[in-house]
Amino acid sequence: MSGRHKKTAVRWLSTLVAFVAVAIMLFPIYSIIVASFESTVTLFSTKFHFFPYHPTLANYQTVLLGTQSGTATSVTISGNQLGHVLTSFEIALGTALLTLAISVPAAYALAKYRLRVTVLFVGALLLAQIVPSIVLATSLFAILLKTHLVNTLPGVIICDGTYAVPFGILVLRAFLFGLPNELMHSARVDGASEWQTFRMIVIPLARSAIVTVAVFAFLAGWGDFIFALTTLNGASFEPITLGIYSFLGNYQANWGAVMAAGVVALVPAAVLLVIAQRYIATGLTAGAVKG
Amino acid sequence: MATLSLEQVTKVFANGVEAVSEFDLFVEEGEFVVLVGPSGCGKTTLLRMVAGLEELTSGTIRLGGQIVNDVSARDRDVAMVFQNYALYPHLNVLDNIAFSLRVRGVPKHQRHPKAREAADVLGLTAVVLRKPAQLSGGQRQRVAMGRALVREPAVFLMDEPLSNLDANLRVQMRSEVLRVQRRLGVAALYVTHDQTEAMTMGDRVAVLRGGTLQQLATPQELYENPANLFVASFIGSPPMNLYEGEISGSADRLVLSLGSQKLALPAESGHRHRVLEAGRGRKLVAGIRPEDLTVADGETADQQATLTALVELVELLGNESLVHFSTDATRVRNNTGGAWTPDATAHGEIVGASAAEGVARIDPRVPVATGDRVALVVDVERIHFFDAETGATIGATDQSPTAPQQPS
Repeated sequence: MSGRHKKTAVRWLSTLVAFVAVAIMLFPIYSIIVASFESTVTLFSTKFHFFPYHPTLANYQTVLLGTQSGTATSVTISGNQLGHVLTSFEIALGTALLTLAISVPAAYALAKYRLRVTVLFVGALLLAQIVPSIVLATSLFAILLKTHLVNTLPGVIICDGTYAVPFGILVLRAFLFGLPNELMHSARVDGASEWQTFRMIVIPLARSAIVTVAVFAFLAGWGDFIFALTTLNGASFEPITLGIYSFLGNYQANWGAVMAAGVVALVPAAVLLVIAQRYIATGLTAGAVKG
Repeated sequence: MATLSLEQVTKVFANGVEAVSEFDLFVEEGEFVVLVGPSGCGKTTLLRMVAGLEELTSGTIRLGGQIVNDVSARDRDVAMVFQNYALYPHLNVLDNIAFSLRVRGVPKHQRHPKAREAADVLGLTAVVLRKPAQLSGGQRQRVAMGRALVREPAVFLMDEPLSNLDANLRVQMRSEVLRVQRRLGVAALYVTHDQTEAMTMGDRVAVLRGGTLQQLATPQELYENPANLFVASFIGSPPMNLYEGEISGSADRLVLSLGSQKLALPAESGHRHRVLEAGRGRKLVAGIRPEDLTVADGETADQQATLTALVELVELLGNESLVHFSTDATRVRNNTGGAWTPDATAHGEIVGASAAEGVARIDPRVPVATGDRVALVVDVERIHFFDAETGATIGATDQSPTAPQQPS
């Protein structure tokens, strides 16, 4: 086999492997989508159908309109999920903004200023990543109770931030390390203040990393279940994750509606990811210094 | 516009390394001073201290008579060109050039015409809307200079601005850099490790080594009257041939021994002659520039002032020939060792390290071939003598500031 053929073969093989991997990862989502068009009865049949066996929109009716369809056997009659989607959106956006507001300046300071505590601080951030959120939830609840933030939107957002902020700092710090110091020095010699340098040089150059962190934080807020469950105790609003939960009762569960709500929850996140994708992974510093 | 003065400037880094020690320099308005030296000699640290990017350990820096030690970089009013240009990658050429005006709050309709004017001067008119990534190396270099040009800085600093360019462009940009500096009319401090750049560009050149000033003089003065062995070996390409020698003979007829060969020195009555006379019997270092050697044509050869040498290699350059030869004299490398040796950087090891080699720059029409045994006539008037221990030039009469060679 010549080298060229070998190369082609390797390429085909790696494409195939990637394809299989993607298929495996996406299969649950596919099955959720299929299931969302099925009645709960069909869902519990022993055979898996690759296409809806008895296509029905009843689940979406339940989820979007809040009416109880004839076939649905849900015990909890819940209102429509659109309000929940909006709440999720608010929480996710709030988490993204909070994360950016803290992690961008923090990452810059940790990356570009040599402080003795830097190592300790970064270690602490890593540690914060290790602690499971369920462990944090209890103590966070106690804190929110004292600060009267239980059952409030800021309360959930702060809780979600405990996860997104350390991650954001670590990602941005790693990115900012790659930013040549000369750029900052040059800006300073050009007469820029620290703040001007940060605003006019650092933020534009870190755009791709900032978008990445923002998307991550948004998705963390969007997909959060634990903190919403623990901090929202009979609040007038609930994110979609809790909305889905409400279809699962003690005695019966409307799995079809769960699936449909899942799809509804999935769509905004997927759209956001597609939009943000072109900002993620681009190296913007090309041409700054000698190429 | 202002003068720049450095007095006893010293920088000791946190790890205890003394990068610059007691450095003095005065740059006139409009003067172009080059700081040259091997890597790690402290020249960039010095420049960064002037820019305000590095703090002084002790000493004073004055800009236009005012002490600026504690003035931050942004308020110092210096323009600096960095070695890697440090262009802002997200801004186009115009905005890069206008950045310093933007941070000072100059509105767009005022700063853009100024930036455009600077771009025109530098021949960047056609590319003003491009981002740095879309520019060639030479264009990036010009943008970096445009950033200095658009302001009216008190002093213009350049840190090896041409080192990233290819050889042809470097030669071309030398004159462009000078043009920009003349246009600005300000004091300029230019850092390079390239002695050719230093010689061709500087009104005056400061040779540094291990953080101390070796000599500050005009290029011609540096070349003709190096203050010490280091300057002698650093300035000039190919570098000066340095041999271990010894003076003997009578007072009116001094003789220099280089290995087994002897050169009669002319009878002079100067200060140098007296010092040489007094140092008879001691080892010293004799330096001969490659152009102070010519191939004897046999009949007229003065036996008193010729070196017999074996030709190892002839490099024909068209206008001249570089004849690499060996004699039995002991070649002197940079006497304090360290990372830098003139031999290693200039020519590599052509023959074994033990063999004494030298270079003569001769008329290309003189037929010389590898393996020939030739008599090289030495211009004995122009031999340089250095103290073998301190490296200082023997009998230097000029008053240019010199520093004793301190191994770092």
